Amino acid sequence: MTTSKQSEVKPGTKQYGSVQEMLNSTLGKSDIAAKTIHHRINSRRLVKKLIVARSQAKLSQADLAKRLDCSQSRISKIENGTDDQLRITDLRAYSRALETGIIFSIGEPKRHAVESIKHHAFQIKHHLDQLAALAQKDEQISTGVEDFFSETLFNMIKIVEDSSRKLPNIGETEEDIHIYSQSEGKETETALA
Amino acid sequence: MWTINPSELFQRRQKRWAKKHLRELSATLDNLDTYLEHLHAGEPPQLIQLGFIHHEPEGVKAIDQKGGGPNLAQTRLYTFPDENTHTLHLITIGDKHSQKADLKDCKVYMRQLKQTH
Repeated sequence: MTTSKQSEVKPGTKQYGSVQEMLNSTLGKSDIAAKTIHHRINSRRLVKKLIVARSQAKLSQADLAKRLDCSQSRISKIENGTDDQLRITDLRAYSRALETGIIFSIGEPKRHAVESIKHHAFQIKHHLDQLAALAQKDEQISTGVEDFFSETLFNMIKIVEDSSRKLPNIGETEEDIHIYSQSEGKETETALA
Repeated sequence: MWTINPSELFQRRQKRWAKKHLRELSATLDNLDTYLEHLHAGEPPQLIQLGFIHHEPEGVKAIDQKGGGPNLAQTRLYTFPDENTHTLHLITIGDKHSQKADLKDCKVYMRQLKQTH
């Protein structure tokens, strides 16, 4: 039985955003072990998205196997495998069984984030239009949708504002952002700064 | 967004495992990465059910090496997902033989963590 020093059994002084960031710092970027682990983690990025999607749908491997009319060991093989071993038919099957969309993005890697944001913005617009169309049918739904639109607007501005704060030199040009919203006939102001 | 906080004990042991049990460490950290994906997706830690997670006392979750291939030695990475701070504490890593001592270390760690809160 290995004994450990009491002084070591306490929270560390550094926090990391990912396993890879931690390995780079604790083992070193050029360390062979770190490289081996990086390689393994990077080879299973897509597979992990599928595992999370299944888990969020509250389905076990056995449940999913039933829906896909295959054996549980097939699901286990997919989820323990690498992205290279995934087939397009597997992705389609997961998408169908989990009733979720799978989006592929092909483009210049450097523009990936921008393209991705634009893509999601269009998706949000599409869904908001769907809700607006739904609101035509009933006054109660209309009120609910209106509230939801206000909430969405507030959250979107808050998200952009939060990210803007991470820009360099933002402190020098920063101005308070105020959101005016109307609720129950009263105008209220919310400062985000 | 969740962040990882490795203890000094974990960091010291990780170095040893990187030298002596790299396949096991690789499989365990890959499972840790999967667990983090679930946390990032907003799943409550106590509801995450994965084949490689073992629920230990005081909310400690032990992550093992399952899925990493055949003939791997039993490995446990002891973590604590702190929902208040969205921090995943990496307490220690060990094998079957060190399990008792590792759980003791977890107890000490949790006591210290509670004191700092």
